[in-house]
Amino acid sequence: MELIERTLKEATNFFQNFFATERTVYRRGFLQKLDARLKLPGMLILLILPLSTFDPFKLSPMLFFILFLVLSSRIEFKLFISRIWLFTLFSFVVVLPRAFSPELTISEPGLIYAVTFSLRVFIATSLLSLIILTTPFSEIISVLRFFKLPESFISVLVITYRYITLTFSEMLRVLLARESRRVKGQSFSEIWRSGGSALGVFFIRIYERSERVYLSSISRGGFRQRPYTFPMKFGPIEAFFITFVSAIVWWYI
Amino acid sequence: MVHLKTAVVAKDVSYTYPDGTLGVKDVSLSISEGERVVLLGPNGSGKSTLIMLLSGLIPPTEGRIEILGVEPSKKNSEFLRRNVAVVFQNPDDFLFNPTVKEELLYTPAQLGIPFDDALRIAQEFAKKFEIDAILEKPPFRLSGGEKKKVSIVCSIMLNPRILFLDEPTANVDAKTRRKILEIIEKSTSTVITATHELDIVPKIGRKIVLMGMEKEIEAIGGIEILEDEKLLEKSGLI
Repeated sequence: MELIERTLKEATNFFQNFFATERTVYRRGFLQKLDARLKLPGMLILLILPLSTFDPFKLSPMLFFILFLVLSSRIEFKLFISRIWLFTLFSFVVVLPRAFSPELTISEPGLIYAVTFSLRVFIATSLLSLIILTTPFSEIISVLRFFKLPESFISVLVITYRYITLTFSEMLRVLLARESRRVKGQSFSEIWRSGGSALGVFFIRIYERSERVYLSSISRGGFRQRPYTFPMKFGPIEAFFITFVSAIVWWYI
Repeated sequence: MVHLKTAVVAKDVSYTYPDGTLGVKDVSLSISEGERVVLLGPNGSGKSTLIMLLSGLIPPTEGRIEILGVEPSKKNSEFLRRNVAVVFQNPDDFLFNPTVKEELLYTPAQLGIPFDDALRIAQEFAKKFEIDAILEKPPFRLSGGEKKKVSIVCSIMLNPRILFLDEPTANVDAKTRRKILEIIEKSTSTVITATHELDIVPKIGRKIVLMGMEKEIEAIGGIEILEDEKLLEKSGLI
């Protein structure tokens, strides 16, 4: 019955690594070199287009485009797949009942719908993952400010990012501490009870830690968010990207 | 006779946490600019709370604090943040940016220092303190000693007038400890260090503020306090 704790630990590790992209963001690949002020809106357009159709003929070329971006951005295929398979599989499981007719036989249109739906999820999560894997978080925030998105929205994003790693590392510490001090297996009711108290302790710890992090940020100049801005660049890579995105938009229309 | 400017003054300062726990009681002290002060006391004597109060991060529930001639308030916060730096006891509380480089650039950005200047200073300090190889790493992936070093570099790189250090040598290896003590010795700022480690006191300060388990100041004096076993015993240090 350590399944709950194991699952929590795995999930914690997964999400902690999801935001730790230092291995890839500073590589000299195609998307890393591309100006973030073009990359983000361009990728957003590419993300919206497949969501507007259920036509597999229009969706499938996007797979080649994603493959091109992964390879040209020097991202290991294994790493890339490890970040998106869960979301794709989950969406497939959710939509799978649509593949069955009322008589519980597989219907062809239903199956096509389920596959196309999962394909759309795959494309969307792939493009989002590519943005995260190739853009430092501070640059994403700078771009949002460049496009004059509401400051309240950006602040929420910054604070969420800041505290999410903290939350997961605290969760991992609580789980590991419990594991290190447990001698024998527990019954289901014991786990349920101790799990509840552990969750309570976790929330208190995370609250107190957030207070300390807040004080440390105040001591270091506060939350006024005065980000550094970088000069915009426009070279062959940017020209190629714009051409490519325009071609895909034209293909969809 | 040379009159030194006052860096920090606390007058009858007490602090009680919202849950009713006493943080510190009736603290009065004065620290001049350029002084090296050690807040010495056992665990739980209120050293960390006193650091938070003296650096203006939390307001006292009673009494008055002045830092570089001003009372901590929202209006004075920019002045204080420019001149006062704090290194927290636990670096996990202190480091919250995606990479070490962004940690180093955080305060300069907040204070409006031009990017090129900030980057130059950050790179210079990173090299000097041998953290240049980890600049692109996320802080939560670093070892305890590396985290501590990064926190200290973040705090000293803009040469603050007052530097507060809370247990700077706790949980670090001998080499990192030596390096941290060297930083404190060479600093030109007013340095106020909280510690319970008696052996490092002579290296980090000439003035000792001894805290006791009653969360009050037991004694203020010079290095001779370390020889007063009765006093140290009373405070709970030995």
